Amino acid sequence: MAVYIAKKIGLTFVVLFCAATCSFFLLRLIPGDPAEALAGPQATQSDVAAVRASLNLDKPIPLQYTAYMGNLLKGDLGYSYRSRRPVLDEVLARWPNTLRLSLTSMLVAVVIGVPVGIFAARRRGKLGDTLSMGISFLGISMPSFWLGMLLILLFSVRFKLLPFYGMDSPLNYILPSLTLGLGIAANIARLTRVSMLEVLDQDYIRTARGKGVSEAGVVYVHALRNAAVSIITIIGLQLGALLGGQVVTETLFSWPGLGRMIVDALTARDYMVVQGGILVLALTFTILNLLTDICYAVLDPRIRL
Amino acid sequence: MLKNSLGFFRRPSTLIAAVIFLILIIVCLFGTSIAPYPPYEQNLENKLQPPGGGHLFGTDDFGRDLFSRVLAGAKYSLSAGLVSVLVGLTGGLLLGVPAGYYGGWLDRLVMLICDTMLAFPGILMAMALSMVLGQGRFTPMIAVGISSIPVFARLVRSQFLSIRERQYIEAARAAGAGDLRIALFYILPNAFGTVMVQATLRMGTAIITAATLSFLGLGAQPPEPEWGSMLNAARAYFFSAPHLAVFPGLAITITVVAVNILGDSLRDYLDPRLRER
Amino acid sequence: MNRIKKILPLMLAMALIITLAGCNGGDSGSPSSDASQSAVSADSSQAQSSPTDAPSDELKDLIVATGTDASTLDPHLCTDSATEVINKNIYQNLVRYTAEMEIVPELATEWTTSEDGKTWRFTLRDDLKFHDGTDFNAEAVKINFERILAEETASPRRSVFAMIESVTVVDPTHVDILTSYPCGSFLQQLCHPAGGMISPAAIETHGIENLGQNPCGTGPLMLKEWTPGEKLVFDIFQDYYAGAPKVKSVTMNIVPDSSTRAMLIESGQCDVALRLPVTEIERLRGDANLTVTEGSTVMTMYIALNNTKGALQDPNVRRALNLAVDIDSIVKNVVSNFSEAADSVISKHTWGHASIGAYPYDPEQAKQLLKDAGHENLEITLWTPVGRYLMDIQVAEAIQAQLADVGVTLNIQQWEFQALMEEVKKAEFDAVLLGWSPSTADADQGLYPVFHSTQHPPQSNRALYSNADVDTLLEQAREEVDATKRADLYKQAQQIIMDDAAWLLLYYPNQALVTTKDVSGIELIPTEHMLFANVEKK
Repeated sequence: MAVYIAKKIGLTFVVLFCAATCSFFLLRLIPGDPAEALAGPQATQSDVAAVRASLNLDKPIPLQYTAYMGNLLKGDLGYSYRSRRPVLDEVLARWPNTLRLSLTSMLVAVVIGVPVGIFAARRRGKLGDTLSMGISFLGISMPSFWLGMLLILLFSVRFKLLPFYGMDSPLNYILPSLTLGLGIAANIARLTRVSMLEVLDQDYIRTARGKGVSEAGVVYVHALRNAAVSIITIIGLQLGALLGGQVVTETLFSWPGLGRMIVDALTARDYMVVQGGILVLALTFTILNLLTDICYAVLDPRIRL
Repeated sequence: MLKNSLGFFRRPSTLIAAVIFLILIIVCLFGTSIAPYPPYEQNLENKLQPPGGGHLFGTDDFGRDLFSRVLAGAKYSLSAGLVSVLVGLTGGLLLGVPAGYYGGWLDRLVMLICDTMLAFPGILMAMALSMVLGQGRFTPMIAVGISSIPVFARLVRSQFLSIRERQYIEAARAAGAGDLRIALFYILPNAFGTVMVQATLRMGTAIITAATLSFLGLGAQPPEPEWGSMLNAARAYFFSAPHLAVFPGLAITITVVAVNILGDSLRDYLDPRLRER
Repeated sequence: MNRIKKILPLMLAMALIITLAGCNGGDSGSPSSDASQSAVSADSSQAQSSPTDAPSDELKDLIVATGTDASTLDPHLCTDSATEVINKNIYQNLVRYTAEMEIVPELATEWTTSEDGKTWRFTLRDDLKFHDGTDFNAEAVKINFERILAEETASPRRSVFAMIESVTVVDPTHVDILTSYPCGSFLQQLCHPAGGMISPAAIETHGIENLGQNPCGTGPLMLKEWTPGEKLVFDIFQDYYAGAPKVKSVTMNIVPDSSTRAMLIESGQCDVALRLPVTEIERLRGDANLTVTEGSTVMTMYIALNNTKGALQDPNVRRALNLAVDIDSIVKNVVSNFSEAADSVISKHTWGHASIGAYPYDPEQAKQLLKDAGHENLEITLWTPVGRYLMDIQVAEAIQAQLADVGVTLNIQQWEFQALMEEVKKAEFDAVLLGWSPSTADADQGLYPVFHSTQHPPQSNRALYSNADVDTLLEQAREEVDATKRADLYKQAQQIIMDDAAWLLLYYPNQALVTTKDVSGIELIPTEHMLFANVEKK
């Protein structure tokens, strides 16, 4: 077990190193000059040159790369071109917002998805099953930005029930969490249903039933516990996707999160902020994967350790 | 053969999805001639009309018939789905086949590439790639495709890993078949079903991602009617003309639902283990 | 093993809870702490303020919804107009523009020019303090200009003040500025937001790196708190020389989506909404609880036609394009009258503007000109940014439809803005839709960089226009201090440029400010700045 985890952690570092390298070079392939972007379209070429030199962008790219990686090893993510703030400060100001919204969205997804999945599994082939699975198809297939627009139109504009702006009250979390969570809820519902059905057919469940364990007991204790493996896997994977996939939702709900920060920085060619933001997202993502892997390995004895 | 395809259409939802998909393809091919109005024709005096009257879905901010534009938009979205899945699939095969077949350091290298790509948030990856690739009708589609390569690569690899251990592969090898021959003619056909299911399901995701790119202004070129950019334009008229935001979104959802149901049915059809559920 | 199976999910849940708790703590902590420190030091000066000020408990908080976060609150480094709007309320210049574009005293009370037009003597106010309580004086002026011009500052706006040769302190309230040539537009240059005066003490303490988060000027607003991506909160500078604004504080909430800003002002969740889309402004005009203030700007929207490429080299082809586009229809139908058709290449609020008159809408003559030039089936590609300018894509699409009527095929290619600017530098395009907004609001900045033949890409002359007569006129005007003569030189230059049809000229976009009925006193300046000095909330 310890060897397995150590190996995985080692791999995580390699992946992060590659991700930092990739984002560094990918950004420099994008047309557009950070110095020009910072100085604005009206600046004279001599002003642009001065800005370029002050940001060390006049140095050869290999030199910029080694300097960046060297600082990274020291834990220094560099400074934003635009605000001259340390990138770490920029990221830390937004990361909690992104994480909180990801977690509430996942909560929404689990709270809706798991019961719907159980419900459908217990009514296999009946109307309830067909209906809930049909709706879940809809949930998977809706673009989240459109869902967000509809939710705002419906709950904020028409019925004036829920806020579409701000982050002070728990109510503020409802619409954005629904926007991000419903699609995942649909995924979880479908997965829960399938893995429940798989388990309900197994011999030991029949034995449990034969032994007189109540139906609810069968479903909640035995079947669900075994479905948990795949549910946890999908939670881990989707949580990772959620962290980086909020860009449009953050814009719709004025949520000061990492995705929006990265896109804004990309538009302004603030390389350091984009690199820092992506690195932190990649770090969170790989750690989540690591936890999921470990969880999976522990819960499913078929996986060799 | 007939019996087989009947099995595929066993469920009514599959049939409906297939009909929708067929209609979409017809709309794609003949969209502009079916449409009641030319989708590009502006009539500024007649802008932002609500649905009804001479315009089924109303008119947009240029007085263009929204229904005609939604019909014309099918072409972009379906080609986006197709092109990006083709790109993703090709890339996935190129990486996944050698990794799964040979294993070892090659496998580890490919998995590292995949892990690295997956560590990037998908939509940001697609945005950055479409910026790198520059202008062009197919650029955003290719960008979406590239960002889905690791998904396909992992799938192909795991299929190859499990199939190569099977006995008939051993037999083929013993009969003197070369690596390429075994990979292409013995393993690939067996992995085909699973990969096709994934490809169909990814098409839905790709259509949404491409629409999101257009929504962010990095996708289709104007005045090409594209559902995502139509939604983006609709945001400026959120109150005065909400119908602009409803119909293109509905079109995306219906298309993706159809594609997903087809993919799902294909999986059930190809995987007898799940068939009776 | 079995036990681990049970414990692990629990551990996982706990880890999540700990992370959550941890980020709550981090949220209230780090990046704004520096800013709050500077606010604390400013508080001490607040305590000394005169007791005649209105008791603060009657005053209300002003909530502003704006689209983008500020970049840097260092006026010498700032380059984006959204942040300039904020900086103009934290810092002040020697002189400033009014809403009518008159130049009036701000930190200086009066000024004289030497005989040769190279030395300017400014008399400064003697009663001014910076937010940190230090005095504003001639030494501060000297330090500020030297900071902008210093190489290590790497100010992106250095060239605005590049004509300054030296700054000499005469006495605490008098300062001499020596320019390298008689600069006709010198006062206009001084109005530029980059000429904001920073407290020398703050410059000393925070250096180039940190001043942007720790601003300290003489203006009515003082930064209290800045949460990146979320909001900026300002206290009122009670020692503000013209009397403190009648609000308790000003909060700028960052609301990236413009429809959301419209919803916020409509539902009373903010008092002021900036940069709303024209469609929303049209709608909100009818709202009895709101005031829509519309004003002109110094910007000109245009399509730079590549004067060195293919058929576009022929002035008659460029004239034909101008004749074929119905600007009035675009202004009315596409931008909802939120603009004015242009009658010259610089806007009427730019110093030196001469009303030359636009090309009329005459598709028949356009066809004839194209026919005579042998370009009946002209096909050109128009590059346009997306969402950078007011309705940019929509305007491009409308022009596309109108040009089709005279047989010109216009292909639109939309670009992400920075990629567009990079590509335009190569000068291989046919036509590109852009806006030019001379930040000094003077014809020198409005014409020289965009029409002088030495300014071809990578500089700003993106039409690659060359005309020796125009070059001479612009050079003469730059060194002409007599206002009448200078205006006449610019008039001649504008006439020639219009005759040559260097651009496909479009319109002057407007700006608007939507407030609730309770809010008054915000001054809208055509340089797209707004001053909160006289703001009042009932």
